[in-house]
Amino acid sequence: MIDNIGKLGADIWMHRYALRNLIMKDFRIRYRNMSLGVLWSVLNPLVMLGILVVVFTYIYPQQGHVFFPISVLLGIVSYNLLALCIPAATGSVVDNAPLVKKVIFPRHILPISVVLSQSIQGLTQLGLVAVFVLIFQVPITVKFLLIPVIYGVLLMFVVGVGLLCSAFNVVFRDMRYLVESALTVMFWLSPVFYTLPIVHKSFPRWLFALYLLNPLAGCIDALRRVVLENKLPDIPSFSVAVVVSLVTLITGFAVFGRLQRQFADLV
Amino acid sequence: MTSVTGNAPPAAIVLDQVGKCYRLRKHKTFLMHELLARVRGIPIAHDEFWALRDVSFSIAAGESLAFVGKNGAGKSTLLGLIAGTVYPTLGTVRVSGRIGALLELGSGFHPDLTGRENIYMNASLLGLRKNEVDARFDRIVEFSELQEFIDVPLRNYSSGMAMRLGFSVAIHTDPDIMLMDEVFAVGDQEFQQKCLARVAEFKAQGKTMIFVSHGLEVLRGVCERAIWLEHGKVLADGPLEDVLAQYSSHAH
Repeated sequence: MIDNIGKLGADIWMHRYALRNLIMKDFRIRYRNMSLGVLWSVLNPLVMLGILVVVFTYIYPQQGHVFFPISVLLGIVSYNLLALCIPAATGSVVDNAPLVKKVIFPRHILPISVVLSQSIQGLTQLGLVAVFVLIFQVPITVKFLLIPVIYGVLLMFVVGVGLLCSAFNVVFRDMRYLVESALTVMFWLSPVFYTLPIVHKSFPRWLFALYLLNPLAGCIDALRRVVLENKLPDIPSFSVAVVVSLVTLITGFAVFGRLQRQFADLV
Repeated sequence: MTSVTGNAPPAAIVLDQVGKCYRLRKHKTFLMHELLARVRGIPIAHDEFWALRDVSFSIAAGESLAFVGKNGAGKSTLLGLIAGTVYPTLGTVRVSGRIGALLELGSGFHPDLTGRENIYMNASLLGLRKNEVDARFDRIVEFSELQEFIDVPLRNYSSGMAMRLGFSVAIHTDPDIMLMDEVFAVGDQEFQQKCLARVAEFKAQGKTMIFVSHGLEVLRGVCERAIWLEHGKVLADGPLEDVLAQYSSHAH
């Protein structure tokens, strides 16, 4: 087992340049045929933000948010990381059927490269947060250094789910539609336009514990505390997010490793 | 280690009682009723097709060998197993050394990327690092004779041009073992001669080479051993001329 992990790690490391090329290929192809290019990745969260801010300040006012627009934006950006990466990763093995059938390389790098290239787009959205932080004159503190850590936890979760979905999609082609529905559910089950403390107050304890199994919950809350309230992440909810993300990542690698033996026969 | 192993060259490839079974379904993937059947514990009926059955042989490092047989005899499955893209249902496959597979030329190419970008993409998938591709880039382009088109997207290449580029990338990755599936159908006569010259060079360097080809004449120049496959079984394994004689007398 340990031996296998070491071998896989070495194999992926040997193909790190291929991974970089796959990421760049994904980027080039995506933007070569678009006139607005990278602008789209900033436009989408801005539109979402506009709608949510209008609805929840005028029609249905919310309590508990500090710097409401930024608070919502942090939620949108975190959720978007999932919404950008998972559908793209799901198709990554099937869409590269000729490669999978004929070229020998660790297949893991297919979903991983897609997740990484999409998360670069996610990073530009994080840049949008920075702009808003400056506009609203949110005090910038040392705790901002925790942002990459929280983002890293989210990324572990996304890579894990990406590996799982791309492998399942080979044997079960309806995966794409399942992913679409699951993402809609995830949007409402994540504290995007509401906050985690409100969920904590309104849910019975067992339901709240269940709710925390979605790592977006702990991560979005942690981001808000760090960026807007100059506080450290809430230890219980953030640790659940870390553990769930890690378990998902490990499960993703394990399941992908098992199913990839059949990839060449099935794609 | 005993001294017995001292003289014989190390085996590059060993297949031990290998079987490969494909499940033939009407649809390639899991269907809803199949899922339901599995949940209820009802066994699912498949048509099984054994592409290979009980295949055992070993190939020494430096040997040049050909798989012959009709379409559907299992030759390409066998190459896939050795390359590691296909996993055996039964038995074991052991391979030592870096494999440069020419299972299908240019299979990693993307139509939207230029020739240059595709060279880097393809070579890196075959396991090369950036500086290694940089060092080989000029030779790859020169061999493919595509200098003028190297910054043109692949979609504008003819199929022959794309295959030439694929062949050129694959032979420059410096493999220990070369697997070639009908690659001599590439390009015009002149380019074929060039490929054959390169194959002879590899042979002189002591690389292990496995060919699948229907052009029996081509094989005569490069292989000393052949394995004849029929319906997934090995019918003959021995010196090329003997096996080819058996194969052609059977065919007529």
